[in-house]
Amino acid sequence: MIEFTKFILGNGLTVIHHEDKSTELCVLNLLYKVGSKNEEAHKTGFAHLFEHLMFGGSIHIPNYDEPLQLAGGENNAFTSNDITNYYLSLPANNIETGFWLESDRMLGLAINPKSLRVQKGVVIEEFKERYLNQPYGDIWLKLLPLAYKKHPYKWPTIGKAIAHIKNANQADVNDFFRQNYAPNNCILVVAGNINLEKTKELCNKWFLPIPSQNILSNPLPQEPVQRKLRRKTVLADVPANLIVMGFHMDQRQSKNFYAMDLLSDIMGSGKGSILYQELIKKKNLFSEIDAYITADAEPGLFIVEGRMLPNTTFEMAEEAIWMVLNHIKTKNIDENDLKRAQHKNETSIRFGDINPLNRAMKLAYAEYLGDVDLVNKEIDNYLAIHTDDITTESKKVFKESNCSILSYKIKKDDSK
Amino acid sequence: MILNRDIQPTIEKIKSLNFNYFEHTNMACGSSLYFLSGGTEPVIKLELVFDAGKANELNTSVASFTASMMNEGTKKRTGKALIDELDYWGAHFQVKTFNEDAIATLYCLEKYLDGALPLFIEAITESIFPEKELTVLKRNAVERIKINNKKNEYICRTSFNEFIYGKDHPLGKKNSVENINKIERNELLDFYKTNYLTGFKYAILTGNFNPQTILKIQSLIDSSPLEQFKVNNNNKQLPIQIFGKHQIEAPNKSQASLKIGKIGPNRKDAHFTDFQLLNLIFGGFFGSRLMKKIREDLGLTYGIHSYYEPGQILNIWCIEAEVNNKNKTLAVTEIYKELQKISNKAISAKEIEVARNYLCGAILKSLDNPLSMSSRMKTHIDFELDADYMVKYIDEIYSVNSDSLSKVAAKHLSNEQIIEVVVS
Repeated sequence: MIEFTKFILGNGLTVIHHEDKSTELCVLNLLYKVGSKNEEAHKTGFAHLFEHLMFGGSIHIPNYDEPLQLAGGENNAFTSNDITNYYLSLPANNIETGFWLESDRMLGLAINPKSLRVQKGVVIEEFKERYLNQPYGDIWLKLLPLAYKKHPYKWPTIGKAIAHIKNANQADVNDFFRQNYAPNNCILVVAGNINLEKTKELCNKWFLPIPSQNILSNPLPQEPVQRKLRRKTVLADVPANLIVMGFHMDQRQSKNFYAMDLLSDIMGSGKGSILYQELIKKKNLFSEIDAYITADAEPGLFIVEGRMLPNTTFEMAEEAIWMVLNHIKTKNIDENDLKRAQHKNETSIRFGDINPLNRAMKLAYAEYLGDVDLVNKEIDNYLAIHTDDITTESKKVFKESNCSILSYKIKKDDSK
Repeated sequence: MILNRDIQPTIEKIKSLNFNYFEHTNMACGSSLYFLSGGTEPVIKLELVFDAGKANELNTSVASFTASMMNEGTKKRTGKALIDELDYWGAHFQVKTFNEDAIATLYCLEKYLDGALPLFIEAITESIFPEKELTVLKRNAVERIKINNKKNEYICRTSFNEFIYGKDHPLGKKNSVENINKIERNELLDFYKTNYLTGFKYAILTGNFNPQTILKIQSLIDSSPLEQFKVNNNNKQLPIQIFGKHQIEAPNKSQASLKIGKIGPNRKDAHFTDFQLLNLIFGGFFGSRLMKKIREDLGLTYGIHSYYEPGQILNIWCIEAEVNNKNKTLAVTEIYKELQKISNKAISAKEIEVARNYLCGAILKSLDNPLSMSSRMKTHIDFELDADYMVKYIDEIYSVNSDSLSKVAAKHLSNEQIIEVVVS
């Protein structure tokens, strides 16, 4: 049970306090409700670039990292399709430094042309390192625009192309900050060895004076229902053929989400899973195969991804995967398989909760989803799923007309 | 009162370390079970440590294959049945191979320990290494090597190991498809018997548990066939370095992967703490000189850092990065400039203070979580550190100064005897 208290400051900042006396640390987690889905189609990768710029100094504090390190702290951040999340941990007696730093960069940034230029360079290297310089690294750059036609999930967090990052200018940065970085667009979690009075006092001192902003919440274009199978073939210098199949699934808060999450574990997690047993061990078609969900806040994808053995053709691979999926649609999965997945899930949730930082992130995300209580309901939500829930939902999801298939093919070198 | 945002709130020194020294109990085979209970969640992590590291293998990949085969079936159960039953208890285990040892770890909730623990012990002590499963594993490993060989970072890391350990040393030898294909069941069985069944070093239990749990674990290990590891007299090969600059053709040209390293001081060296701080200041954290210069000032990389790994075979100090291919020469030149600077110019008190406080905070953090405690415990056990080591260590960190750092930099960070690998 994660205990918490939630309150809202006069400027709209949502604060969640979670006390843990067993730790010597205190953590701050700031979730800004802006992700790559809030970007314009011709300026993608911006939310993430902006995350980098947030470390380039703020109105009163020229350098973010050094004072934090001086106080014995560590920090980091990540950007997803949905949110940008910043977190830091400090020895509990030095937590005020965290309030000072985070409130100042919420108040305003001091981005200069040099830091913009340098961070653009850093992000471009990140783009290359993670998406281009790895075999199969650009799967998401290819699959997402196939699966999504309207919804901004059609581009990955890093952005559609390096050019979008190169073109970012100072005016874009200023606009983006004003539109998204404000107390009324943020959820702050204060967790660790700190009591509620202290939390309130520090929030009032450092965050309350920051004025709220007029946040434009343009409704996102919704993805129309997919009507027919989509395919794309990519030729690349890779050592093995790979197939990725993406199916649209239900949104995060629905019961169906939990059903499909469990199914992805039953199908694809570990040596005991259906795909491993059937397609790697029995049929000898793949060297690796996995099933997982993208777990976005809005309707995401159920993915089956398999790397094929040299003698497996794309036709064989696809047919074998469909056979597994069709079997799941027609016959309820084994009760014991479900029970195992539920128990494994409980263990991983409990292990995830061992440190205050993870608990803080979970609290912030649950609040973002609209129900902070979710942090204590997740295990029960998974336990409430029955085998027929999975069968019913599988019938809706695993249809050819709901599927996008990316065939990632070895490029034959003719000169050899 | 008007809020002054220009001044950092007062900071305090770390007052207390949350380090309750762990206890241990002796088991029938002579090994010890070390344990420490803490935290808020009812979880358990049980680690069994074996003398089954990569350094012990005669042929490449034998150690890691033996480890991966341990969930493929026992005398009583097929691999699938074993995993299904463990899954039922929400538990899982893995056997991971490191350079110097291997660790079999069970993760589970305390309420399901009675179900999961016997299965875990069975997997570790009654594995049968079925031929059929080995064939699948080999086939998958071959595919993985093909992919790794397309990664600059992999080529760079394995080449660096080859130059620092020597191409015939188990830690320096490169893996290949041919090697994998040659692996035989009998080799794995031999390694299993010698290095696991009679190579058991000790166990570590962490998480939040009651005293009954310790007794249960002890009694199950006591009734298992595990035998304590006795110092073996295997004529282990000595590593041989090939210093100098090594340029290697990259499979991918968009970025260059680089590693620049040296042999560092060992853990018992009088300058160990100085060197740790020196590494931090140079490239060991986000505020380091390398990050400031190569990333934050020049924008040549997404990340660059140096690490210091004092081990039982070698103490490696190394810088690594993926850099923009066009500017790789500039990056390498700047790295050497930084090396020269840190050896020749006094480090400011402010820089030392930042690194020192950061390190103390990081130590506090590493002691905060019952599960991460286990790696701290392992270091204590492996290097036979005293119970008050942590307290003394913090004192030592506070006594580091500009003079002591300069001496250590001149001695250990000179640009002699460097191994530089650039894959581009």
